[in-house]
Amino acid sequence: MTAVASSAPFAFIRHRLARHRLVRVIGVRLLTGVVVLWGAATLAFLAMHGVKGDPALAALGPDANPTPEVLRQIRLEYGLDQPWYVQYLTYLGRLAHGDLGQSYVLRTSVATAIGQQIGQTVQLALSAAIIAVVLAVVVGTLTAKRGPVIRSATSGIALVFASMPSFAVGLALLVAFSFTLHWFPVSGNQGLASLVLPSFAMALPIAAVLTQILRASLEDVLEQPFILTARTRGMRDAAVRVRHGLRHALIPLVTMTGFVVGGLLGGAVITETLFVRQGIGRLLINAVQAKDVPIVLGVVLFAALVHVVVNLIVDIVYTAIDPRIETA
Amino acid sequence: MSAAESAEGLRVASRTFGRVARGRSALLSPGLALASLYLLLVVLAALAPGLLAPHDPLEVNAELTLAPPSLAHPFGADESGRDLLSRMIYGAGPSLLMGVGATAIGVVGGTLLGLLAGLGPRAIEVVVMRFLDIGLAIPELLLALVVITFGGRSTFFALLAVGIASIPSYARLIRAQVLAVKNTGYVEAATALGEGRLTVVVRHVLPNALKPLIVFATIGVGAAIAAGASLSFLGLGSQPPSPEWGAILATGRNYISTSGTLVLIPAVAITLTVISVTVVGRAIGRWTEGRRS
Amino acid sequence: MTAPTTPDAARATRTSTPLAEVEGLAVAFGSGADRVEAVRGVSWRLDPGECLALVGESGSGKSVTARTLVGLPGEGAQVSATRLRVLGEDLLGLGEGRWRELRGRRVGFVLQDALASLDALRKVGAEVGEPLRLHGVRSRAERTERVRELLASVGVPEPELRAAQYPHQLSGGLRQRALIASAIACDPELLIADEPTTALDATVQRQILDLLGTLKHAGTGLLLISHDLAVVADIADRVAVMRAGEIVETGPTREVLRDPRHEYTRALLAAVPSSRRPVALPAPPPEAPAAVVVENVTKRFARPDGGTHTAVSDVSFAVSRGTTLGIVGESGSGKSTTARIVLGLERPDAGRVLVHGKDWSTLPRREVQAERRRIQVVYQDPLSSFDPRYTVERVISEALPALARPARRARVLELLDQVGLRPEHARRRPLELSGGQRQRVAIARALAPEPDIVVCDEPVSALDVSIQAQILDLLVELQRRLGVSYLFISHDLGVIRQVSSRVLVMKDAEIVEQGPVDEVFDRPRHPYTRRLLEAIPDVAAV
Repeated sequence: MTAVASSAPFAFIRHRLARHRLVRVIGVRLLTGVVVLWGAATLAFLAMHGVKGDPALAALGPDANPTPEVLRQIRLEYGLDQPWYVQYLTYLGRLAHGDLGQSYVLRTSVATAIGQQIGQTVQLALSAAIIAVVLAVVVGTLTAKRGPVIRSATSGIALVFASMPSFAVGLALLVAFSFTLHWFPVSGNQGLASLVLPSFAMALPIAAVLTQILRASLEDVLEQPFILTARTRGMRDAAVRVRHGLRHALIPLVTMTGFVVGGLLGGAVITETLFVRQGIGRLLINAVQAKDVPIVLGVVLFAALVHVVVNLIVDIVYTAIDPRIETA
Repeated sequence: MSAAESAEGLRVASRTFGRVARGRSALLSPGLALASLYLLLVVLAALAPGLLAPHDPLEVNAELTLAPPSLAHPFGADESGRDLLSRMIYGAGPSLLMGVGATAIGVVGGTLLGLLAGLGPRAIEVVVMRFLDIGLAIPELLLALVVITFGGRSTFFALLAVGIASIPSYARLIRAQVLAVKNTGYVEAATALGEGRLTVVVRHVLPNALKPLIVFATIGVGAAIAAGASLSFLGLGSQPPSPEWGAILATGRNYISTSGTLVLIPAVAITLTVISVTVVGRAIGRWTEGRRS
Repeated sequence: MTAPTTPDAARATRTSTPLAEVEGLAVAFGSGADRVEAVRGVSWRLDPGECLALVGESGSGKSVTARTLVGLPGEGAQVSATRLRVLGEDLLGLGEGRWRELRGRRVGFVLQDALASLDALRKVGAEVGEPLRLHGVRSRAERTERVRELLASVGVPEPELRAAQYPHQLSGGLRQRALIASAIACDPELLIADEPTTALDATVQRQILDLLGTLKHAGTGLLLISHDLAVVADIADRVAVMRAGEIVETGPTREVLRDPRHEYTRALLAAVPSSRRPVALPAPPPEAPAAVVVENVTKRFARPDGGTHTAVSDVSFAVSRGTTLGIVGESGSGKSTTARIVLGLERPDAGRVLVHGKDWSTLPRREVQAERRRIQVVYQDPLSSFDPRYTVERVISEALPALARPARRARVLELLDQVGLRPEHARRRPLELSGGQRQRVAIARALAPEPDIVVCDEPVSALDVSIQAQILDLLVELQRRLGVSYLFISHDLGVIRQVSSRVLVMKDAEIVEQGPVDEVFDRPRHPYTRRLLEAIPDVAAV
């Protein structure tokens, strides 16, 4: 390292190499993501065509009792008379164009159904994510390496919220803030007020877990020699925590993204049901109850896509936060 | 599904808590005692509900419809006038079975896949890892819902669904453990002593890699109970009138504005179970680690 | 600065105002049964332009003493003293705001290992300039300029470029210079350096010591903390030797080193590797056959950016039976990779390793496994090489050939006895042992299969000097008794000289010089060897 880094032109080349590496890392990640999506799609194809017997029957929904004539018509329409690999390739081709098939029940395409519901869920998930991260960062930063009383208290609260199923959190919030205090509406999608309780119901359990992780990593960081160095320069404690500690402590939090995304999507299913809100979660639950397989698989594929995209973004952010990644 | 119901979340939480709590285990012992006591009660209720329950959990009594708590019925009665306390006691069994059964599926499946990915030949590792990637890309609750879509709505499929959905994260955990242990100095030292690959794996890699499993599995039971309750709550698990905590809660939701206890009591029971299991699991973790240091 | 109010302080001012005065300092941690007194009754003073060195082994309380002077002794510390003054400020009961004015501005602090002591996520310039920002230099442009000057003044070439880089992109020496630049940014009157050269290679250590010397000559008071008497020898005016929280001896450096009065100081001095004359090494049997022959071995690794890195290049040597071959080199010279190749843990890309005339690189895996027992290893960090679930007895038993239980147990006790451990150690877990005891267990395990050769990879580098000496003596003694050969790897020339009969100097993956130890040390031919030898701080030079 010394030899290479010792003069300006070489340092420049090193920099170029590092950039190049970043592109490669992202490229590899992208490829992995595509493989994951392709695998998920293949499993979905197998599920639809392999497991459930006659796909033509399935396509009509569970309660249909069609004549052979109708079935033949449907086979032609869906290309079910083709060999399996043609069907598979057609399926993949359609997926690539965003065509997730037709709902058995809703009389619309899966893509349209998801498209109609996505806005509400994104709103809910985003506000919950923001609440969770802000709560975790604030509480984690304030309580790391404090006296035993503060720590036991926050640990206890975090343990309760991390252990509570999110429907229990939602019910508790409903009982307290809707039925008792009448501050917020019980259900619905109307306005900001109706967003508050569901967002918190989703955010609190996630925040509890993130707080625990952030605080533990911050406590590790605050033990590091460079923190002592900063203090010996005359820096005040609050500044040490925020300027030096927090950035390091956030790095392990980044690896929790998958967990957060999963928590939000899973949370949406429960929360939208509990608060009777429109959204992907409700769409999914209704589809599961009606055995509307294309919708269920469509939502699952969509979730996998979200996971892949979010993780890709996180990887890029991660490289931006931590300069050591380039050369590590 | 709550954040922590994902086995992953609990695992991370347990790790951090374990570290935080290690230095002051004495402070936590009253909590540990309470948690153990509560779990003991739940287990007793699960094994012999008839001993504890004052009434038949399915006995309908129109006069008692939505009765508030009283001396004869400490938790009140539900919408059909059934004694809630008895229903809760009889509900412990299915809930606990859900927790233990689903965790068993997750742990066994996850361990097999994790070991395969961590110790198997490169080709197998790649295939297993890609499968795990797919599993991990889909939230656990969604994975469970897929199983239920193809299986059906019942207690059995709910258990299967929760178990299968947790396999990928257990597998990843085991693989990470295996890889970490494979890179330790003592594995290299054993290799330098001339031990064969299989001997090293059996003697050092497996015992050390699987050691945290007992803690994670314990905590995982709590997560699985909560996940099962979530499915019942969504109307996809145990079906009424069977007395299962999540199902009691789901029905009680319709009466939340008039009779809060119907929701409150099962919700608290589930939450306390998850907390107690977590606390006990962490204590086991501290204990096994403490023995080493 | 507060005006002297007490008669004591007034008297002190009349003679000469000391930079720091410590009297009866005691620092304790914890309470009740857990209470540990880290520092007890420590007194010393430091005058302007002077360098005082606090020397001691780990746990002696030297670092705690230094940190107490900037009000950062650690969590839950209870500090008491009859007198504790720095730069005229009474530190007892100083408010947090006053502490912060002192820190960084009037007292600079340098820690060891700049990689960990500089914030890895911030640029070097931001780190060096931080004390300026904290102490009133608001303008960014002014700070940038000052940072450039500072880096230049501590001998960092191309300061602008360095300021824009991250700590991990700098070499160890440059990083440590940057850390010092940060500590002297506000031109402090007192500089505290806590092990500033530990973990640095010998040549870099030399440069950092010279830099600190320059600062001292420019008038900065220097409080130097070190475990190494040799390091402080050239630079300190006075030395205070600490053990278990107390000062056992203090005085002018020359007196303390030349004529130590306390037995602990004498023991410390005797243990300094560079001052120890080689113990009488067992004479190698005449015409000793080679235990290991390494022929033209080369090893390359793929770098993450797609290139290759040559770790070992065309290396050849032989280790004769019953002798020790020392390999010396700085970090990254390829010495540890060479060890791993000899152990058969890495396969060379070219060349071959012959153990008893058998070529390891072509031997089938099964036979390598069997041959492995003839060549054993002792690592720098023994703890990580023990299965955490195992007791000492099980650790050693594992290395024994299949024996009946009683025979096996007898052999374990015999081995423990050989390495100077008692039978009751057999039941302990390695975590319950001290560093020196763990290394003894590692040696016992290495000897268990009755190997012909033991590879020692920095076996004493993590140990205090007095323990180091014991372990080295043990290794030599075992060689005499058992006739085992050593391939001994170290960055420390003093250690190498003490145990080796032949030595091999590595630099940048290649052997630059090899020969009998006296020849290489007394008449080095290669300029690099000469540089290495010159860089060793020498107690005897005082």
